[in-house]
Amino acid sequence: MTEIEVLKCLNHPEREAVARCPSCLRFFCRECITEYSGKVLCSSCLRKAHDAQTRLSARSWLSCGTAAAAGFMMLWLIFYSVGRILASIPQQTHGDTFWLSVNHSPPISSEHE
Amino acid sequence: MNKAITTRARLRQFAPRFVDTAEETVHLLRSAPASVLMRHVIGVVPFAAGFMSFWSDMSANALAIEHCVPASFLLAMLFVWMKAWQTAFAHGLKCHLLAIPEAPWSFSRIARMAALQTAVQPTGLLVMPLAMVAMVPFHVAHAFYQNFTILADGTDTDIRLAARQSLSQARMWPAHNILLMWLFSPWLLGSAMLIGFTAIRIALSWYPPTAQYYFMIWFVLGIIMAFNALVVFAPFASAVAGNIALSLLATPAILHKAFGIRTPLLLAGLHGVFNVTFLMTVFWLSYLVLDPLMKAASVLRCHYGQSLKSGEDILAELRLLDRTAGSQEMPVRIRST
Repeated sequence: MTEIEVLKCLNHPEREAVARCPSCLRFFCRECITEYSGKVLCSSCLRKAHDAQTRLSARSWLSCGTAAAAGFMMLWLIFYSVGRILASIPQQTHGDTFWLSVNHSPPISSEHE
Repeated sequence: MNKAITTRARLRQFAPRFVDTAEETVHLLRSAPASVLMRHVIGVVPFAAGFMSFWSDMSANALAIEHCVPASFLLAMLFVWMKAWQTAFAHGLKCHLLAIPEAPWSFSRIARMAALQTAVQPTGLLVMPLAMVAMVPFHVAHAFYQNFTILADGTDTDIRLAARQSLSQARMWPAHNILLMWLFSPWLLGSAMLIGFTAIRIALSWYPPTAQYYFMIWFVLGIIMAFNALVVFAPFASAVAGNIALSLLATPAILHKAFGIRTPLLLAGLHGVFNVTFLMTVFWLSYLVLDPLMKAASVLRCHYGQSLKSGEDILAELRLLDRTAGSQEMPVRIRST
């Protein structure tokens, strides 16, 4: 007989324990245990985890929002700089006069004519 | 030390094959619902159009500098729009791969996802060109931003956790990562196009002005140099860009032959090709083809990497078998690690 079969639930002494909470390491029956985020937890540990998550998400919302604002400012600055650089480049660079500038070179010498 | 060696050996043991991943990438995209594929188009097209408009305006309009501030603000907004839709696209692919329903897109989740993407993705515009110059960490930087698009999908607001996960996935199987990037990355295509056309420019600048009839020789030399740069940097992407460029050039000729319509591109001839607007049109149309492939390949890489710990690939395979039992539907083939 394995250890888990003789152990009783912490909340219901008349019931056999079916699982052990990995957080508080106590034994519980099927009714007192639940699955949360891929782990099996008892109700009190679940409440603690949920409270911690709520506190964390308020803080992480703040940090995420600040980082997003900073990221957007950086993005705006990058595109603004690109715009300034493009405006400072001579216009013919963007057209065919730059790439095919040979067409605008001096005409063929007179002996060919 | 021993633990590190064991982990590395285990990673090597489960390393996916590049050819298999490329094949699964195409299959994943082909089997994905149209609603998922449309998300990518909805995200990219406004930004591509905005970027080209911004570029043309800033480079050709003498008074453009006066409205550079609002124009760049609008472009930044379009960038965020694109990244948010790309994340939705990657999430749709991931759920399709795992055969699970998508988590609902609530307002708070969309806000979280947009905030995470806005916080991290702009740094890529600085880090990626720097990494490209440095060469060595480029594949890690490239994979990091691709993974962040997939993993920071708004289910959590923890920016550090998403960044840590993206980085650890980016460091997995470097050879596999480099080969996929070489095949699908639009960044490499952009660089190859830049190098190629600069090569043409350099070749033409050596042309002696008194020998006009040698122009074609120098021009062909330049084209060969450009082709070499394109093929070495991005072989598949070059084929895609080449096909798109030829289609763009052939359409005016076909229109003229079939209906007698004379378009400006037909009249411009070679001059219509050698300008930044044409090159950018080719690049953005190629981006629309290549980027979904790159995202799908990254979704698969993340799936392989995460499945080593979670065993999610086996669960997904079981779900697919359950779903397709008794039906003739072909399931998405998933490689179990």
